[in-house]
Amino acid sequence: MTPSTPTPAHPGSITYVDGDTNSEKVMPISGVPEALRFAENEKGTLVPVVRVVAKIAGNQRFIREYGPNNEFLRSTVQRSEG
Amino acid sequence: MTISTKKFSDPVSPAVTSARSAKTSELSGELPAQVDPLLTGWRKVVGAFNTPRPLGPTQDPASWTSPVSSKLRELLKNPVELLAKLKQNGAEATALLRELSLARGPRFSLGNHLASGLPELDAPSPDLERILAAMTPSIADTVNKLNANAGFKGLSEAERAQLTRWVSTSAPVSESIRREVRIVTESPTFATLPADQQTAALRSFLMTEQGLPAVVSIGLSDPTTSPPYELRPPVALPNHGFETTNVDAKMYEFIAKGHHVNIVVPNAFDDNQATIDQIAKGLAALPEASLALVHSVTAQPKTNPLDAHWAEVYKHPGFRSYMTAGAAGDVTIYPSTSPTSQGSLNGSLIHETGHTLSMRLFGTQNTEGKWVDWNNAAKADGLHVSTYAQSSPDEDFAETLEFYQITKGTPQAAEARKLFPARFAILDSILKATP
Repeated sequence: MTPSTPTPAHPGSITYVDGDTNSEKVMPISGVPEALRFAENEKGTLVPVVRVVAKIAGNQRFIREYGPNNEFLRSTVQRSEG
Repeated sequence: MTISTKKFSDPVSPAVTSARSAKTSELSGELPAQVDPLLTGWRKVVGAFNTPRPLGPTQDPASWTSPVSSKLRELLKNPVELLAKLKQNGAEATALLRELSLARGPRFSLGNHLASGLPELDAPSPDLERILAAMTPSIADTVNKLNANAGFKGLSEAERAQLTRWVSTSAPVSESIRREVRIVTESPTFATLPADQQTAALRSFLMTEQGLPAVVSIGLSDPTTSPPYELRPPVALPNHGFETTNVDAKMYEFIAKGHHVNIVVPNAFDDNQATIDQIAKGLAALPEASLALVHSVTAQPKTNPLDAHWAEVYKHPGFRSYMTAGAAGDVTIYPSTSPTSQGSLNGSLIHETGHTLSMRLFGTQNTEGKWVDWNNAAKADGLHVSTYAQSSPDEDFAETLEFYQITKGTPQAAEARKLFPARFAILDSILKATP
């Protein structure tokens, strides 16, 4: 991530949603790698990541990162190494 | 870390929520009353396990836990060897097929391999024969058998029309549903059910959209042609700073339909990385509305260092990042354990950038504003392109867009449109395409 704007304040935690079990984990920001705490929105402004949703389908896991007000920030597709 | 157990709330239809609940219950060994006949029969048909299967993603071979699964997991790495094993027939081959029939993703992608071995099978057991025959059912045969089925006759006219439509196209989604409907309706247990229970089972089949492929990208073949694009000579980037390391790289300027995208490719990388030609063809294959939102593509030389974090958070290791797309228009591609196919790269690019497109078009609240039109269209179509598309309107848009774009200009386009006419009409409008 290459910040193009000053880093804003973070609310303090990220909610991780497991889309397979529909369960949530709330993780303090101190336990989250710095590269995952913020992401750019569509305007290129850094905003805090507050919710991450992951779901497995087939041999892939899809990870979606959202900011406040459900603003979509980043999507990642992972593949099973097996 | 604070762990709560509250449910994730997303705006899906009650039918989908119910279907999800049924599938989750199936995995955990609890059967809701309304789907019990079907699932009980299903379990018997596939030689259901005596012990409950653990809650988890059955599509992922890494999660299969029975002794047969271990063997199958190894064989899946080499489909040719798997086919040879299946040709031996006998109890072991039957057991492997039963396991395959429980695994939607691998079963779907292995269908062609299995089908290619059918003529050489010697005296297959009844189970083996039935399951293999269900791998490649024809449209006409499937419709004829449904029309002769007492349970099917008990469905309403609208329900019969719906199921007939689902199985009657040459689109991959229909092929997958045909396999499932044949496996279910031709099971010995299904045949012994009273007509009203067969009807209930088929109604459950409709409600859960049983038989969908896990994701659209399963089984994607490489496109034979690529839309035109221009790739300007690269600029050398000595000791370029990537996410995790500095490596000499090249930066290309990609141009198509008046849109410019910078592509950075490392000179050296781990394992397998997409080539500049693959990336350029992938960009050229995007809908123009999506391409307009992409500013850069970076092929990383190393794996995503964040994979370890997600593995820990979600307690499910063994996944490796392939592609990330950010809302600001930056796409990142990571090295893969196996070579990337053009079809797979195109599909992932369309899907992942599709999230940015839907947010720009419809907004961030997927139950409000223009999302209402999309959700109403999905309800009118009554079918999703994959089980993953069922998970939320956002994923439904991304998966449907991928399906729309990869079938566009192919003989399958008209067939695909029969299944998803309302959503394809919206995509026509968005992408300004001619139906």
